[in-house]
Amino acid sequence: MKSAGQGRRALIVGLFVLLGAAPVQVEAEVRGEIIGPGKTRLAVAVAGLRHNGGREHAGEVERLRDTLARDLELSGLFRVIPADAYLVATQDYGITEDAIDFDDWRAIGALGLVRGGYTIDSDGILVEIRFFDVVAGRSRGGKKIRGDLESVERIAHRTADAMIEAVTGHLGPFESRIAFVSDRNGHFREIYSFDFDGRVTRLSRHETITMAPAWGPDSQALAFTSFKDGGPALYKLDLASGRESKITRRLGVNVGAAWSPDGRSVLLAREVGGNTDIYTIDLSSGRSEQLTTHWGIDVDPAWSPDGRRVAFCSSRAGKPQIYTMNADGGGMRRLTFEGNYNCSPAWSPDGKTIAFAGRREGRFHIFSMPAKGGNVRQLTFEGANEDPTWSPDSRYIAFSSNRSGRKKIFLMDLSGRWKIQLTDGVGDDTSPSWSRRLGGVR
Amino acid sequence: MSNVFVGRNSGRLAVFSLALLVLFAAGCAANKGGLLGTGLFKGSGLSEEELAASPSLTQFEETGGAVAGGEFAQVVFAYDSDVLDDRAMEAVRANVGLLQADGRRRVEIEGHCDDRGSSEYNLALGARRARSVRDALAGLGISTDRLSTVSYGEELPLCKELTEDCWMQNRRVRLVDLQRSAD
Repeated sequence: MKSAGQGRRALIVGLFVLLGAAPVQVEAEVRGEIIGPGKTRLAVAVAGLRHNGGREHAGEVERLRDTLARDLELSGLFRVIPADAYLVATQDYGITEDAIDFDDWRAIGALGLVRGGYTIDSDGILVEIRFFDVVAGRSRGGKKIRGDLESVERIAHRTADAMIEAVTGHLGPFESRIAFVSDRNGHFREIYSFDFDGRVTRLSRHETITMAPAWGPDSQALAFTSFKDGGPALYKLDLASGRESKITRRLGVNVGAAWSPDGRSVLLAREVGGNTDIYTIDLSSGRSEQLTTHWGIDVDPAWSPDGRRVAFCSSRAGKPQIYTMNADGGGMRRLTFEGNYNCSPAWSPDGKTIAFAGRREGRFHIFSMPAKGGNVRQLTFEGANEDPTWSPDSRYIAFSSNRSGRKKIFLMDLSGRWKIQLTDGVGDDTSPSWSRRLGGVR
Repeated sequence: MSNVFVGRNSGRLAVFSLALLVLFAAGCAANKGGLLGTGLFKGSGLSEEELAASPSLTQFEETGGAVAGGEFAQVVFAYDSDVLDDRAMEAVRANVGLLQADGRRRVEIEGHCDDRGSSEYNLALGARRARSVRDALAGLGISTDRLSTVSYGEELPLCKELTEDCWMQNRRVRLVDLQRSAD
């Protein structure tokens, strides 16, 4: 009963949060001192799924359970009690309030319990998962999800996201992917996609210089920069068909790609005669429009989620700083003034915050600030950190960091207190791009 | 093949279309003559072969490694700078000597950066570094017909250590020989 000693108040408010009271109130608690990423994490048990009918698929179901537990850990909101500590076996009891002896879970220090069952039929798998407040001995919601046996990880991510919503009032971020660039398979940097169950899928095999993957708003297409035709040009990869098409055909540097919220155009940085400016390209007509015309370097464009403003990095004042402008190039505004190198702005999907990488005392760190500027907050303090990208729920930032050796992709919450490494293995993993929430699976 | 560019006038549009054609031709087959003779790319010093692949890119694609050294002097830059300091100008002058000694010699000027900072910014910075060297060479009398530029940003590092010495090696402009002109 270790966690019981952490103080009555923490326990009570933690439970109150788990109960899923009015979201606004819950948010106040989560962001306050009681629970939240990097603070006291809610101890939960994630029981195995009970087999309720149809064929048994122990392997897939174990994967589902493990993925769900992993997501809950990654969120920084929960501490998952290891399964070998559980006192009862999965098949020994039902998945309803009456059928659970909550003393079995109180005894191992669990405040919450995730319990579910599955049925296999000709249409795939039906999973029902419920969340319980162990102290009160009450059900606090649940989710029924139907899916294919091959996509049990997706079911797990969706469940984890729902559980995070039950606790914080905001749907979690894990039914999504992170594209990144890596040389893990040899000399060449190629594009890979990371799923939160830990799977990494290779998406390119160009064997040349490849950079800057960027998800389209539907999370079905990626734009990227490649030298595969001799010089840096923008391409689009359609994931369903595997088809690649070329977006830019102009010589010189074409780099970047930030999709407009409607998916119809991309922003890019284009070099003419040594000078680089921000342009947009309409993807269907191919028409391009120049947004900046300064002698300084203008790169790293990022669209505001409403499509009205563009953040970018410019050396127009001598050293690279973050600016925003209207989508037509007017209304220019400088946002950063501290330090002599601030780049890679990333606009949060809720529109409120811009994250960026800045150099302080010779090292790069991730910072955040309100989208209107002011109140810059440093979020990383260890190693060299670059390339921030936002989770679909605007509550987490992924970034690349060399804090554990080679560059790897890390995750942190908005406060910067909760950080966890996502990718490992050999090589450098850089330039992460976090997709929006995936749809399409039943 | 669609033309994605909007020219401000038809002349520019024509140039872009031709550039496209050249790209296309170069992609299909190596040097078939054709558009080269038009002198269209005189100013940029580009030819079909060069459009198809820069020497260092070809080498990288074949070996997976970046190439160091060569006959030309390496031009080294300060962090986040495209300014030629005294030492850099010394290297530029040495290269002018080599280019003057053989008037048929043509080079590609490669801009490189260390890996600290935005990789897109570094691609732009590499282009500026290459341009600085090109302008300095031109200022010392080398015809721009003999010079083309390319940026590799931080993508072709010579080393990967987190030391000032390694970063300095990577912040370079390198000159590499292109095929000599015919006469």
